[in-house]
Amino acid sequence: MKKDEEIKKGILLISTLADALAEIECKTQEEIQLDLKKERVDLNSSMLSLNKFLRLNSIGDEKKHERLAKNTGKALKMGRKSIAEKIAGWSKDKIISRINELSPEPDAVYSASCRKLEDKNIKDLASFLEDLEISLQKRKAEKK
Amino acid sequence: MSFNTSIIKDLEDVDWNYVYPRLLRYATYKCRKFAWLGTVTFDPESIAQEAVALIYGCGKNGNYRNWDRSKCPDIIKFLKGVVDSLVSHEYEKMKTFKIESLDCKKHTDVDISHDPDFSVMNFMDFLSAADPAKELEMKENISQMVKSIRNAAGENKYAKLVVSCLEQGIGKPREIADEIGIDVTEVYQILRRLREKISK
Repeated sequence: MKKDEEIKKGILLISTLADALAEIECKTQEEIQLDLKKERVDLNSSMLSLNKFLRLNSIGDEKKHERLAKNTGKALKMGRKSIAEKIAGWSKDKIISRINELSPEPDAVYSASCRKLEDKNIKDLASFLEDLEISLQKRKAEKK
Repeated sequence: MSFNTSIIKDLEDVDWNYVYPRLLRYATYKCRKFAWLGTVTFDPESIAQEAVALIYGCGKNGNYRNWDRSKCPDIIKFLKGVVDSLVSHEYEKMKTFKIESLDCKKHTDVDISHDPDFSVMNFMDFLSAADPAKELEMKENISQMVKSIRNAAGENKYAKLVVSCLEQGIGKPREIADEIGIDVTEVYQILRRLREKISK
């Protein structure tokens, strides 16, 4: 029993130390990087994954689409509509196949936005494909 | 309530180079709560990235979190809450965790908690439900870690006081600083020293 009490106290100490370390406010990026390095967590590679995720997902900003459309003379917003119309009659397999065709090689971030495609419903898949197509159009427009 | 897509516009303003490292750091230490389990680890990067995926409306299994900027303008605070919830969920999932996953010989499902918080009692349930050999190993891990933390404090008066606060469950550095009457930056230094020494 006495041993159990000690274990209880031990767990509380370990757990609270973890909480306290998490709550340290870091002022600089270097400070954070150093802490993460000590914990064997690679911030740079994690940031790269995050940026890929953000590129795939920061496409909901209609203003950006409008601005790009203006600059390039292409109505990207209209592009979304025509893509939606094109996808409307597609089967689930066809949508998944097109997503795989357009997507970059699987990585940590890609898997966050595109996990288990087969388990998703057709509406979500169509919406994801729409976003992907628009994102590619946008990138092409940006390059021009 | 479905995912509010207008949040995406608010997210465009977020400086992820500032926010994400802080989030990843937070997730890293929150996952360290379970270091004593030995073979089971929570991946902080997956947890941090899942938190971001959730506020973008594309979390695992179609899950999402609506960030209400007017109610919680500090996105880091909001994301930390999401991380807490994810870590808690991971722990909850261990309710039906197979003993074999803990590197034991038995193949039974073990109920290790009755609610998703990390109360000491839940951990105790977990320990007592494990295979005796594994239970012994985990208890040994705990004893070793506690010993290391106490040794790390050594004879330093303030470090000992910090450990004493932690033992009482005081886990906010500012509260620890108030409790023992030192500056919070000193508490930060002591906490980091403790962490460094126990990892050696």
